[in-house]
Amino acid sequence: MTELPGWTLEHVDAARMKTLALLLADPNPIHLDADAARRLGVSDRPVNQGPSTMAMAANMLLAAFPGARLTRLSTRLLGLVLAGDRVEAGGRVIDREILDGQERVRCQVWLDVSGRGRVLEGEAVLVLDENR
Amino acid sequence: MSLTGHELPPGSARLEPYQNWLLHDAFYSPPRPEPHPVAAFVLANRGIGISLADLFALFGSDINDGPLLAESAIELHRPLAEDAEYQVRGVIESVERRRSRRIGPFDRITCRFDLLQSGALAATVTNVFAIPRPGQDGTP
Repeated sequence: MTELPGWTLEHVDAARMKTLALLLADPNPIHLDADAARRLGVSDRPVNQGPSTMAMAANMLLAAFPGARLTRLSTRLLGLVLAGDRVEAGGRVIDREILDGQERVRCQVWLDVSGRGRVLEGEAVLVLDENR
Repeated sequence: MSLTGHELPPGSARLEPYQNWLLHDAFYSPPRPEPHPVAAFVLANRGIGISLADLFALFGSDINDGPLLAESAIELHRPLAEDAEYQVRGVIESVERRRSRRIGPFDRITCRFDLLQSGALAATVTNVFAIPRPGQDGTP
């Protein structure tokens, strides 16, 4: 099984969570307000939205396979990503096939937070760029 | 009232070019005309004809209690496009009572959202929410 190059983000940004809250129309206060997250006993920092955490795994895949099209991303969210965290996404190829003349790769994906461990596990399917 | 099979009000959503740019940036992705694959989640969330707060109220929960997404699967049947209109349909597929050591009894609620463009299925987003049910150990 081929290990994919890691994708690292040194600092998860609370400001981006606020932009995403607007784009998602998601008023959940734990993404906006550290005091609300603290009051609810969730964290002392704003909590990254689930789709943003998924997007980090997708970013790793799209960097590993330039020009590919992600057709499936299935994830389990095992823990929280918080403002200020350092995260690293990784993955490995578990299967390759040619379907309808297109090469598809199936990958395991994961995302780790420095100091707290794995926060996302899942699988993805990409259709590779036929011109690569 | 059983929520399984409950159809959510349909609606629609569009990712305007400036929103597409902002979404790439929010996702730590270089902005480009093709939407990020996880934009399907955003379109489903925003396009379904019920607010997230009302959806959690339907679950008997409160969005101000900080509910969290447990699982999500995105299937892209065709590439997404910016500035395209997507019709969004949603259904509550299942409600299962579970128990976890950390949060005690909870309902595992699975919702499926279909995004259609000009009548053709463009993407399917399946989200699973874990809704704590303190003191409720029976069936949902």
